[in-house]
Amino acid sequence: MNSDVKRMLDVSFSETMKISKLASTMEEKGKDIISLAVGEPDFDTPDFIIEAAYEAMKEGFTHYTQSQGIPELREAIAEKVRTENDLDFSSENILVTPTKQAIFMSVLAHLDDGAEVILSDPAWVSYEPIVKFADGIVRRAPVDEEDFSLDPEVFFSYQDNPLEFTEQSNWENFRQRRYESYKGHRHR
Amino acid sequence: MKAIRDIAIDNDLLVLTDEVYEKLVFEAEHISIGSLDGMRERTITVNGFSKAYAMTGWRLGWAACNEELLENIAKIQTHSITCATSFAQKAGLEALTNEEKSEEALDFMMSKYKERRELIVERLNEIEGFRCSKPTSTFYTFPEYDFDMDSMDLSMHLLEEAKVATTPGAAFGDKGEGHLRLSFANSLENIKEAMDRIESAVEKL
Repeated sequence: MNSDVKRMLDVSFSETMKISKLASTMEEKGKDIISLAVGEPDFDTPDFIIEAAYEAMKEGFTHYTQSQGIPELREAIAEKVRTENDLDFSSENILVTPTKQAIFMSVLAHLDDGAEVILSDPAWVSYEPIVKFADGIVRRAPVDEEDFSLDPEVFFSYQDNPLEFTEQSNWENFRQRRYESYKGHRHR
Repeated sequence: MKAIRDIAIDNDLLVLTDEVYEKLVFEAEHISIGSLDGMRERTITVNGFSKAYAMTGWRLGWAACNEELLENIAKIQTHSITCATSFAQKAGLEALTNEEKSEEALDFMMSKYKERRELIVERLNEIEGFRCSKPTSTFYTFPEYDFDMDSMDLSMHLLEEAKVATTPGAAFGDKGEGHLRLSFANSLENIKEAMDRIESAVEKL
C-alpha cells in the first residue's frame, strides 16, 4: 500500500519527544535517568483545580459542550486577556481548545497553499511541520544568540528576495518536483 | 516588537503568537503583540493553562482573535475535536477565577524555578566547554557548547554516559545546532546531580 501521501512527506515525529521516549525506555529498564528534557512543569496541578474537575464530573458534567467552549470559561478568558494582555476581546472572540490544537487549526484555517511563513530560528519544534502539513513554505529568521530577540532587518531581507510563483503552474511544478524527489525514499 | 508590528502592517501579514509562557517571566515584562495599534485585526493570540497552572496533561487552552479570523478556526474545531474536555473546562474556570489560590500556586512554582535557574546557569558556566546565558523567562536554558560533535550526538552521549536526558538544539532549527536545551523543571537535587554527571561525561570529550 502506497503510504507516500504528499502532505506527510516533510512531517516527522517531534524531536523533543524522541529523546524523552528514549529516556523513559531506559528508565523502565532500571537506569537512573535524570531528565532535563521535559517541556513541562515538574509540579502537579494544584488540588483546588483538581477538585473543581472532580466536582464537575460527579455532577454529570461529562457530555459535549458548545464547540467554542462553555460561556463562563470564555468570559473568564476574555476578562483575563482584556485586563492582563490589553486585548480588546469579548467571549465571542475566544475559542477553547488545547493550545497546540489552536496553533494547528489557526495555520490550517489561514495559510493557503504555497503561502510563506516567517519563523524564527530556533523555534518551537512543531511550527515547521505544521506549516509544511498545510502546504506552506517556511522562511527561517535567525534570532539573536544572546537574548533571542528578532532582528527586523532579517524580515526586510526576505522582502527583497520574495519567492515568486508567477503562474499557478510554477507552484504545481515545484510541488511535483518535491514529491518526485521523495518518492524513492521511504524514510521516517 | 513595534518593528515586527510595522512589518506586519506594511505587508498585510497575519501574526500568530503563542503566549503560553506568559506567567513564567522572571525579569522581563510580557507584552502581547496583539495589543499594539493596528494588530487586532491581524493577530491570533494563543495561550493556555499548561505552564502557568501545571495542567499540561489536561489539554486546555484557547485562541483569541477577531471574529473574522476566529470563524474558520472554529469550523475546524467542529470537525476535529468537537469541543475541549468538558470537566477540564470547569477546572480551567476555577483556575482563572480563584485568583488567590492560583497566585499562591504560581508564586510557589516561580520561587522554585528561580532557585533552580541560579544553580543550573552557574554550574553550566563552570563546566569546561559550555556557555549559558541566564534566561529571563520559562524553565529552559539553551547553552552553547564547544565540543566537536553535533547536538544530537552530544545529547545521546549525555544520555548514555551521564544518564541525563537533554534536548538537542538542532531539534529547534539549524541555528539551534551547537546548543542543547536543558530544562530546569526538575528538583534542585536532581539538577545538582545532573550537572555533576554532565561535568564528568564531558571531561572525556
